[in-house]
Amino acid sequence: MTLRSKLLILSMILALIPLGIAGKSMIQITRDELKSSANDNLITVASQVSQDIEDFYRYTWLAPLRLIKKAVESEDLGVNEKLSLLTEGMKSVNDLIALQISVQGVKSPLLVSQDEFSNKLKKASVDPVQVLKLSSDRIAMLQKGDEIFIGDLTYLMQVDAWLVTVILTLDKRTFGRPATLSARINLDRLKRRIESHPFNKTGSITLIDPEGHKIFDRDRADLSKNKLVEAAKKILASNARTIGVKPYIRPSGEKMLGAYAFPNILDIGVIVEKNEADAYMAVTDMEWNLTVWIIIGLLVAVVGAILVSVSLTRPLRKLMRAARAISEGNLSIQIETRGRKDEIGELSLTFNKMVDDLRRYIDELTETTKAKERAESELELAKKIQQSFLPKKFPELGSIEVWGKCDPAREVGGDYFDFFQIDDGNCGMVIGDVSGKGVPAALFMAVSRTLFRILSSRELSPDLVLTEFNDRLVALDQGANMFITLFYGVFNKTTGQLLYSSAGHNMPYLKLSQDPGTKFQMLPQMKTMVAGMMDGIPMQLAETKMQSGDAIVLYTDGITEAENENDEMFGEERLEELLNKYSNLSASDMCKRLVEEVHAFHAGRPQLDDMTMFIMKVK
Amino acid sequence: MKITESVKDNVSQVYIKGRFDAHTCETVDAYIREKMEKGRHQFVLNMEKVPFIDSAGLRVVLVIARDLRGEYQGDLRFAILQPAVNKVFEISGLNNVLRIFDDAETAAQSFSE
Repeated sequence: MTLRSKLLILSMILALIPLGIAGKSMIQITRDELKSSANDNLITVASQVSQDIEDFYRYTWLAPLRLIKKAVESEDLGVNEKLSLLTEGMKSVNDLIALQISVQGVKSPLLVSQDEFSNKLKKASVDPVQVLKLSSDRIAMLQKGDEIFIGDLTYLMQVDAWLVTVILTLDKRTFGRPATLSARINLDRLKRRIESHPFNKTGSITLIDPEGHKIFDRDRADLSKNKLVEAAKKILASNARTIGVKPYIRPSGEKMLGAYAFPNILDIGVIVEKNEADAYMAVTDMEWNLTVWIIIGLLVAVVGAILVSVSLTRPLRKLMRAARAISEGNLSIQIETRGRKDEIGELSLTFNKMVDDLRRYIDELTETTKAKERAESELELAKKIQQSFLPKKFPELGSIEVWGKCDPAREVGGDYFDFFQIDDGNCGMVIGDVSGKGVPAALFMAVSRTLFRILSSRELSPDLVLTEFNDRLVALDQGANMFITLFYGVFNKTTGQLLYSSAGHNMPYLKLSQDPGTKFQMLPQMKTMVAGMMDGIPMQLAETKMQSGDAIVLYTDGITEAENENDEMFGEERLEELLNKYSNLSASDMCKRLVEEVHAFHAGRPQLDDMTMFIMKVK
Repeated sequence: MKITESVKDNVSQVYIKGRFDAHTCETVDAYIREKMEKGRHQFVLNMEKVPFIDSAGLRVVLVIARDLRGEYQGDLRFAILQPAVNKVFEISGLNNVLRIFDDAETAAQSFSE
């Protein structure tokens, strides 16, 4: 997973968790709040309607009836006046459709009815008196001796009118015996008022009687099965008049929220109900709104997270790309660092510095490599030149056979050997070893060789050549204080005489086949001194005679001082042994085999010194 | 290579331990030349613990000896050469120009002769 995705996820989590928690609890709180306010609203409507019914009763119906009652009870008014008062009173109260005064013991009560309503009844072929008149028994049953009675809800199907009856007890003194004033009241106005309640736009207001039947309904539908009505019915039966609200599910499956309330004066229940979805519309709205805002918030958070992670990782990606470019060899790359003062800016600066340094190092390295290559090619050239100093071909020289080999430890070295014809009878053989190795030794060797060639061509006697050679070399006054050891021999092919001299060089091995045992032996050590350090030293001369079958081996200390992995030196004994072992081989094979043996001996260790060997055999 | 020095009667006994070859000769050279600059001109090089010397080593001792003799009337003398070293001295002829003794005491005393 990339750093960018990780940062993105982290910032999103950081943004989303608080937003999510806040959103969730906000929705919860608001939902509860809105729900309770929706519930309150239903209760308010239910109570309002009950209150309306009470107000109708109290002010619209009861108050005029009391006035009428007062007038009827008045001693100051005559019968005719009272009668016209009843008629007028009825006219003034629209809802009042019949007034009746019943006196105990008087068979027919006084009944006044509203003309309009009576006509309606007559039109419907109903006798108004029969419908509107209340018998004394019925009055007594309803009134139960109460001062004021209201109730007896009646539905006149023929004229679609709902009536209630109000009975007031009249003062006994009025008629000298118990009498009542009863009124039949049309609920049409109340019905219309309830029907026009604004609540009806979103819900419904239903009035029920104690049996759970719907009031203001032609069919008087039985709503008892409705859970809310059932609850209201119970309350009506118990005479307690509590207000309630509850959600329920209609048999049709519709979720409803309903409330009930009861007017104090009448045994009816006011049921208001609403589709739960409508009731909680505000809740749904609010939830929807909040959800929208939360989504917007989440989107903003996500965009912010993306911006943050991108702005943090962009410079890192730049660095990564730059690093990749560098690894591909592009060192001209630089990273924009302006405007960033943070750790990333610092990293960019460091990175740029690193690139600069790297470029410089690589430039230097290239230079160094070039110089090294130059030096190497120069060394290679020097090696070729030096190799050209050494004899490569050893011509057939009649009675003698020679071979030499020089293996420098480095490209060039300080070892040197030569074999040359001085005149018809004499040949010169020389081997030399300059102190030190490498280029200085090679240069010194070149000088020595030139000097030696000149001197040996002028003078025959080896000791005189070496003495002169030493003096001339010292006279060069070379600042490096180098010296060279030399062995120089002059062999006369005719006589077999070998004249030789040494300037501090290892004495050669000689095999004289006439001797019993015919082994290689080192020539005796002579008084000597390395050349090039001190002048005026007379070199010694010695001589021996070589005959057919004899051999002489010249070598440098690179052979005897070669070391193996156990720090053991090749040594003179081993050399002697091998010389004897290979003594029957030709000069060239012998030389090659011996050098191979020395290389095999020091295998696993670098060659420390130049190795040179020269062999002359007399046939 | 390990080098130690003890001075007695203006004669510096330099005791070296280890191979005296191309890799170590510069150390000996620098060591002795530092003493020379401080005014010491008589040295005995105790070679008891030197198993081997090569041409580079020879060059160093030869040049030091020559410089001491030429410029300061001093000398570099040798004590107790191991057979291998002695052989190299002989082959190269250095035993003809350098003074070699069998023990350090005699070598040191040789300066007062």
